[in-house]
Amino acid sequence: MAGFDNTPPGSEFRKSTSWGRTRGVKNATGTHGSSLTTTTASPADLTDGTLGYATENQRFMHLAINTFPGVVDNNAVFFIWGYSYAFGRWALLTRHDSGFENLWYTNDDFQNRLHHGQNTNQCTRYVFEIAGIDRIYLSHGGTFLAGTDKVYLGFNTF
Amino acid sequence: MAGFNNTPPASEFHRHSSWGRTRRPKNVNGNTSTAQATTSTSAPAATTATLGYPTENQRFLHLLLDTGASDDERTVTVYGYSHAIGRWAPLSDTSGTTITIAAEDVSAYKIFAIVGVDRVYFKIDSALDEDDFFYAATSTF
Repeated sequence: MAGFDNTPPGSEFRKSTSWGRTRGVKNATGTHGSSLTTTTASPADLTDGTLGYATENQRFMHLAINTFPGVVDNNAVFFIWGYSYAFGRWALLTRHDSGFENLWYTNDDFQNRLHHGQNTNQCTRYVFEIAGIDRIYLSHGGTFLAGTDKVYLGFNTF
Repeated sequence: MAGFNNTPPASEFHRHSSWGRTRRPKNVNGNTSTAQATTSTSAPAATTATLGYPTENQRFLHLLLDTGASDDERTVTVYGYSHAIGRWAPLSDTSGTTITIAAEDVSAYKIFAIVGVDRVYFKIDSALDEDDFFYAATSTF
């Protein structure tokens, strides 16, 4: 009959999407299993809120690093920058006695570097409670090999 | 017809606002503010409940101190006030860590669990210069 068919309207199919608040870890790139590209550069503009990756205001940050994917054992350091729109400025996440305990570097007064050492080919995962920081930017140092070493970033909430 | 029109009364439009409980960090100066928080070199008067900033009873306190461009060393100590107690005191978080943030030619971002303290006050050891930055915000999960 003209005007009728068996195809439901598109509005009948709702695809739930979430801006954060996921129990499952959500990859910062938007694609499961995708690694990041990091550089040695700090944020080019400390007030640029488009740099780095959106956390979707989740509570925990998961950082997985593999600097030994092949036969070369690399140590590396990572700087983790946080940006909240409420501040409008990037700054280095910094260890204190009850937060960001993974940020540790021997004899470093600032304690704003993650020292990643690895002598097997297993990935290492670090979890940080970021309590809704809007964006995260990573830079690396040490002997990180950008061509072969891998960094993965994700976020979740409970 | 006189006395009637098609404009709904303003009361028909409710704009939600939140007293805290925000996942996104909320500047202590207000909903959409990106202003720096005011610091003082003096401790707060012990029982004056209007000093400092309301936390909106949120759970986490975010602090950012940047003295990277100024060759300055600064330390901010946070005082807390709960109306239930009625006195200011240097604030510790839930693990017993004194809430301070320090920076010398560097930026620092720290988060502390303050679990609903009503107000916070920021005492600094020496006043900030114009190229220093200090911000505070709160969030909840």
